[in-house]
Amino acid sequence: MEQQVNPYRKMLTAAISAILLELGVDSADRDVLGSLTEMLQCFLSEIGSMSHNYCELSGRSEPVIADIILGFVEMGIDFSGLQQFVKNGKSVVLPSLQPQQ
Amino acid sequence: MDHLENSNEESENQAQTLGQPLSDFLLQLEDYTPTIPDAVTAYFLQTSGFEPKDPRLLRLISIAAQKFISDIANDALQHCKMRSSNASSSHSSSKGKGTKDRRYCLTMEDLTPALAEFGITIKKPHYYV
Repeated sequence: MEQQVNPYRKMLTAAISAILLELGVDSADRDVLGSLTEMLQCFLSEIGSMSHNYCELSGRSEPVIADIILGFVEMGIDFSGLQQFVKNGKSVVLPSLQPQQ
Repeated sequence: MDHLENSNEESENQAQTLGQPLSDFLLQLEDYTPTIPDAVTAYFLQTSGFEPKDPRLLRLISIAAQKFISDIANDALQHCKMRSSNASSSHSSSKGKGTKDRRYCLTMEDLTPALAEFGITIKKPHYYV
């Protein structure tokens, strides 16, 4: 029986593949893609959980950017280069999903 | 005295560069589409209880995640290039192959040292079928 894969994880893998292609990588091992997908999913979950905690700690239910910034700081991510990253990189946009026939 | 003024100016500049981007940068995100789709980011954030109503916050996180992966992959690619150029120079230096048609395949051998630089130790168990 074929193992069910979360479609959101598939999209993460597709996004990682797009990023790799943009960097100039021609191909990647399955292990590499799997590890990067796992890391990306962990990154998103972790930043979500930390920002959520900071948000609730300050007595709000609606998150603001400060909560996310505090989450970045706690995770040790340097967000000062983000603006430059947006300016420099021409990010690939994934094609819209086609319904399967 | 000059030195003191300079340091004051520096600290003012720094305060500007640290505080300014947050508001300015969010405005720029209005018309920027990150590679990771908004819906996917939203799903994973929701699994950890974080549900921002402002889509720009989602995009900020998407971009941070994209940069995270991009930095690591770029590092791994440099490792890959270095490894393949070393291999080709030691094996077929006399042939003088064109470097332009070289294809790069990312393997765990490249990813492991790249991740080690970021302080991440990765150990994949061998998989036997």
